[in-house]
Formats: sequence, C-alpha cells, structure tokens
Amino acid sequence: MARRSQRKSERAKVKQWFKVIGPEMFGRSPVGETIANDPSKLVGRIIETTLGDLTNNFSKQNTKLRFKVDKVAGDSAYTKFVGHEMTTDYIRSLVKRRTSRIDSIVDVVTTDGYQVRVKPSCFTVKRARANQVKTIRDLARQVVLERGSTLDLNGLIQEVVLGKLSLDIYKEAKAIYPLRRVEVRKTQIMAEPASAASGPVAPSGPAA
Amino acid sequence: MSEGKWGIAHIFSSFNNTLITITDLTGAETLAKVSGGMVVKAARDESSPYTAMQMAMQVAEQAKAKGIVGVHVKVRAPGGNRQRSPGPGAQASIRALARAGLRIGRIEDATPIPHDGTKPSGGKRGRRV
Repeated sequence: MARRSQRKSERAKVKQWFKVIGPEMFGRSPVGETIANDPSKLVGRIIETTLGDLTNNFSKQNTKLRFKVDKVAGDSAYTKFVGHEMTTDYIRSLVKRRTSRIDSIVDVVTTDGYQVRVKPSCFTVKRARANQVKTIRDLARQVVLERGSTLDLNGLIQEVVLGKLSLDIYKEAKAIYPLRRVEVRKTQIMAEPASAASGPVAPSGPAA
Repeated sequence: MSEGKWGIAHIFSSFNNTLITITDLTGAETLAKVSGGMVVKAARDESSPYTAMQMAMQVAEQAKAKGIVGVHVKVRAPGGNRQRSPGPGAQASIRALARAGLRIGRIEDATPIPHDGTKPSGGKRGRRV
C-alpha cells in the first residue's frame, strides 16, 4: 500500500497544469486550468464557463458557454467556441402553468460557412392558440434565418449571447400574441467550413 | 474568475450510495474520488448524510493537496426513469466541502432528464411493498 501511494505521487508530478484561454470573440481571457501529462491530450477537451464569469456581470450567470481546446502552445491551450446553453434551473423558472412555451429549432449557415443550430424559446403571457403558436414558431425561424445568414459566426454568437437575437424575435412575435420572455435556449456548432478547420477564425465583426 | 486553481465536484447521490469525484474544469482528469463504501462498512449507511460528510472531508483533503482552492458543484440524482431529486447525501456533502475549506462556486443540477425514455421498472401497478 505504501509503495503504491508513492508511485502515484511520482506519476502526479509528471503531470503539468495548462492555462485554458478563451476564444478570440470573448477577448482571449483565461477561463481556467487543466492538468495533463502530455499536451497532445488536451485537444478536444471541453471547458464550460458562464458569461457572468467572463464579463464579471452577475446578471449573465445563466448562460453557459462551451469552449473546446483546439491548439496548445507552451503552457496555454487555445480554445474555440462550440456552443452555449441556458442553465436548466433558469429555463425551468420561466416555464409556468397556463402559458405556452414555444420551442423552435433552426439550422442556419453563417456567411463564413459555419453551420449553427439555434434553439430559441418563446414564453407567452397566457396560453396561446395552436395557430398562434405555429405563427410565432415560424416567425422565430424566419428571424433567426434572416439574421444568421447575414452575419458571420462571431457576429451571430455575439447577438445570441448578448440577447439581441431574442429581442428581434420578441419584437416580431409580440404582434401575434403577448410574450413574456424570449430566450435563445441553446446553440450548437454543427459543422465548420472545411478551410477554417485548421486555423482560428479571422477576427471580424464586433469585438467582445 | 478568481485566483487559484478550481475544479468541478461531481456529486452523484442516490438512495443507495453517494459518489464524489473532483475533476479539473474540463472534467477530463480526475483529481480525487470517493464512494460511500470507502468510508463505512455497512451497505445501508452508504447513502447517509453523515457518511457523505466524511467522504467530502476525505476528498477535499486530496483535492487541496493537489492545489485546488475551490470547486463548482454538479449535483446529480439517478435520473433517467428513476428519481429526479438527489438523495440524502447531496446537501450534506456540499456543506462539508465548504466546511473543509474549499470554496464553492456555482451549484448546478446535472441530473439526466430524458426527453422521453424507457418505461420505469415496477410494472403497470407500480411497486407494491
């Protein structure tokens, strides 16, 4: 037993801590640290932080961002954005009885070739009729497609995360039925353009 | 984020056992882990709050030895087609982690919720005790 524990501690010493750096669109700020005995093992790891932690804004604690390590240099690991999600307890706090929750799932291709899946949810004040629900869902789809196909990935993510996209949907859809809240519940990056798979995205659009 | 190394404490708490695993922020590397059976002898005590407290103390020691100053907590109940609310050990272990000197960051529920799953065990008329 004593020998085993000694061996373990020796092995732990070989491991090294790496700094994980956030992607360019979030200002390349450090998001945390991870441990590994070999830098090649870092690639593909996914780290999750909240927008509140990144921007020191406590009201944004409900947005989780997922970053995937794609490049290691020295003792820092560089990441790219792979998706965001609202925390389950926040979404659950929005769902109420006798109101409608209108989910839609939209696949959109950005101007720089990223295929992104956006999942907006609308919450009404009172229960809406089925045809109203349908219209609102179609409207949400239209808005996301329209905005998504005119922006690049950076711009789209900024709009989604900062709530501009959900505001656009709100403005359009409140004419159909009074809405309480619109949130983009989740985004996922489904596919990348073939050329950008090797290098990071060129900086364009509004910076973080 | 604040200074010092942070980790994630994954706490799985069912009615039969409690498992605590502390990993780095990516969840890819385990730094310390403990289960109910490593602390108590009797199987019926594996899920008790007192056991969870001792487990959390043990696991916090190991994590602090590796330089962890605080943890984000992910609490998980069995989920799926079993119960969605965490067992008796969850509360106790979070409190004990804090008492043991680890800082607690976000606390989040990580119970797997099916979008529509398989039929729960117990038959058509439920479990008849």
